[in-house]
Amino acid sequence: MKSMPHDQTKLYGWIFAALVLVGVLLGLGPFMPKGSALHVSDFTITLLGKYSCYAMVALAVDLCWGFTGILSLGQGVFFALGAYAMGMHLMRSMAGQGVYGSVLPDFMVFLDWQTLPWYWQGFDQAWFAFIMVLAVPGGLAFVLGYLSFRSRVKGVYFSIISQALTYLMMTLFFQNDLGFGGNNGLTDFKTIFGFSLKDPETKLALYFLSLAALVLTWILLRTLIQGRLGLVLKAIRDGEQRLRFCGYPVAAYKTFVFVLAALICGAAGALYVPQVGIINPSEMAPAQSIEMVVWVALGGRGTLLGAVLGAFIVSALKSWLTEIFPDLWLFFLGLTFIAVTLFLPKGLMSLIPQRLNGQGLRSLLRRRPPMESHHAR
Amino acid sequence: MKIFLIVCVLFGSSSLVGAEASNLRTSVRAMAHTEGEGWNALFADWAKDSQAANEAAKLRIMEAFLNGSVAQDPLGDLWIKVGDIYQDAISGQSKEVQVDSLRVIPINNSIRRAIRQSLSALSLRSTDQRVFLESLEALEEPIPETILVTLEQRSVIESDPLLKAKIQQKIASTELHSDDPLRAERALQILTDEGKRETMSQLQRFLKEHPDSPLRARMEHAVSKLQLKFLGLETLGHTIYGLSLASILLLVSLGLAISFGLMKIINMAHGELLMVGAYVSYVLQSFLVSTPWASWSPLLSLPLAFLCTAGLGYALEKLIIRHLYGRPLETLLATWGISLILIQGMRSAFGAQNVEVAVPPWLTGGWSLAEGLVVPYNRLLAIGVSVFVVSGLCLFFKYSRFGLLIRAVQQNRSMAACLKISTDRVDAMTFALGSGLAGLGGAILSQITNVSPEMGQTYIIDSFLVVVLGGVGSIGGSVLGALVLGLTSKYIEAMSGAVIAKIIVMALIIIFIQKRPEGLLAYKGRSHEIDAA
Repeated sequence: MKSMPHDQTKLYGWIFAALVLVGVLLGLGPFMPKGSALHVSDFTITLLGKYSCYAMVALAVDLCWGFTGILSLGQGVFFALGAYAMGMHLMRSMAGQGVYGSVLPDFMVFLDWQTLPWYWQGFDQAWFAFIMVLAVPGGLAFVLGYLSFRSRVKGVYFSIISQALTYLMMTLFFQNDLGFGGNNGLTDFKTIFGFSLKDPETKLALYFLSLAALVLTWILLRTLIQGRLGLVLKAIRDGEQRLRFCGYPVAAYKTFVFVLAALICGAAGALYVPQVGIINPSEMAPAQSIEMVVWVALGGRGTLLGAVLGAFIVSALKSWLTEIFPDLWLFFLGLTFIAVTLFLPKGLMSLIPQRLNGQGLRSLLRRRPPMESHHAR
Repeated sequence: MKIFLIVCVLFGSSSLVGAEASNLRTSVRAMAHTEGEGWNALFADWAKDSQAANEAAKLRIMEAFLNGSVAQDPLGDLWIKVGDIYQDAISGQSKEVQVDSLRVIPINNSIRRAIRQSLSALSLRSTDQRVFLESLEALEEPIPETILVTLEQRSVIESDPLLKAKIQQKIASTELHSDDPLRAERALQILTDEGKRETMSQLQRFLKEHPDSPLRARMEHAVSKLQLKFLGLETLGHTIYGLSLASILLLVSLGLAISFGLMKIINMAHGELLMVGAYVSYVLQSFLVSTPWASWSPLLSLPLAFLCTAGLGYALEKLIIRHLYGRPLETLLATWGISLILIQGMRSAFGAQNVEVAVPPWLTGGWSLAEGLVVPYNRLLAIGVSVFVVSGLCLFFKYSRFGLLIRAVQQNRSMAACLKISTDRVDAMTFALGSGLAGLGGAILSQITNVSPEMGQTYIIDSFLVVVLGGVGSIGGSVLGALVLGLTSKYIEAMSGAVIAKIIVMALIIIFIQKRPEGLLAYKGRSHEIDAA
């Protein structure tokens, strides 16, 4: 299958650039005088930063599912692992400032531990934490991906295995004696690289950092997908067996994609933690990982823009609905799932070309991407 | 306290002969001048056989001493404080007394020990079996010589064989340390014959303390024999608990074995169908609660839950799932959506908390197999129902016309359609069957675990693992998968604890599926690409 028509990809690129511009302008909001229409609160900034991290995850999910056909229901684990690694650094960098004033994190004092476990060593160094943010999720993804793809576990089987992994990791992290704070996780962070997390400037900086990371991820994935690799990935999605017969090392490609996605999720998690101020095992709940898939499904898989839009729209709706109609959120989410799969299999993105066509952009209509083939069964 | 109450009862029947009562009064008055070792002698004297009279009063006084509620008046008579009033210690009658003239007798730990010792000696002579048994069990080893004699006398006259064995065992544990090799040997014999769990640790401790005992070889032999016995018992226990777990896993995953195994529908709402079944059981119970049928509601709920969830499944298939055949990943998302709606629906209808499904009297308690090995009746019910359902399903698929249609459609859809079988109808009915089985499993679960809107989430992953482990496409595979999963979990649990076991088992399954994606029992159909979903 030929990749998307060039001008359409270009259009999506422009839309994304416009969105980023809006994001940057919103980031200037806190400098506006309070009370003016242009003022943006710190709370909103943190929320937008959070959504940017989600959008990175959505891009990773899209890379796996939308472009390569690997539906992982365990992306939340990689996100949470990156978040935990960053959380450990934040915990270590505030040694001595905890409630108990101990060098150890509070929960260890609470558990009456005397020394730091060996796997907490080194996390006081930022560079080490950064490496771990990527290495741990990447390593786990490599092990799982390599084993699975080598023995040609695919489709829903891989989904179920990845979901079982999520559940397993959640159960594991709920254990107090594992040394990651059990039920409560890591929280009560004070500073990041010496800057107080309470300061509006720090929050703003973290927001811009997340936005920049999102843009970088976009550029990286777009370059990959526009290139030869993108073609191979789509070929894996649409006809894995045939590609294997052509001599392509399918398992290696899939493992690469899966690991890359895990790295992106890990980085997103690391950016997420200082903004929300907590990481606990409930981030690894299977439902969280599935929500990540919804972002992509709603936005439109197979397009980077769809993933980003989906993440922002669903998360914003969630923030809004859970606040005013907490009971309705799950109904809404459930109905979205059903409606999108039944009526909008290509997500919201399938609405865009038609509308543009009404405005006279014929070229787009002519080169509309073919409907997705039934690669599934 | 119990002893105290019983003593009060005894008091009514025992006749206080004047002379003995005054004897005791003298002894009590002497307390005013008693010091140090004198206390020990005094209480030891009380426990002697020759002083058997006034047992009730003595017991009462000693209990009161231990509670710190004894006071002495200037005459030397003892008063026991019960609530706000004072009783004469010897007669036990409430009398007027000048409270400010009373002096609390201070006792120390050594006196306390002396009191405890004679207290147990006294209560060991009690004719009340419960008092006796309680004090027998409270005896600490090594048992003092005086009490040992009392016990031996008792064991000779005791007619209850169980109690007799208990006494002898108690004596033997002290005799084991005896210097007389004959007595020690006899004690060892008694202990080994009894074969209690604590005997083993007792013998091991003894061996550690007396490495050069002449009985060493025999003792080691006895220990290894006991070890073997308990290892066997433990293994039996794990096997039974494993079977019980397997039956539950099977009940929760049979429905999925149909919808996922046969129809290849990734039904993420399966757990919620279980949950709906459990709620049906709850609703039925609330309707029946004040009728004579109340205690049968667990059994009555089985067919009802089956029918309700089967209907729900039928509707879901017609409305949603039908349109997603051939798109498994979309099915997964849509059914997850269904599950969210069902969870929130139940939350809105019944609240987010657990609902209480009462266990009827005939299901409470358990079947005691051996020392420390009890199988709860509700687990036995689960085992029974799972055997019943599996055999029913096998018969259904093999002999019923509808079972034949299902097999035909799943094996070769287009050929079946050519033979004028309405594949649409069969699909809907098959999914309804799978959903109904899930509901039935939920109804059983409501007797075993908490019923809450989120309960389905706990089982969905286990169910998928059972089906995938067993081999997609065969009911027999799911049975095997549930057995393997249940037994392995329990065996590993015995070594490492519950949560770690769960993690190890999951990791094992993930590795197993990597190695053998087709599961334990592979479906040998025409389609070799069974994992090409």
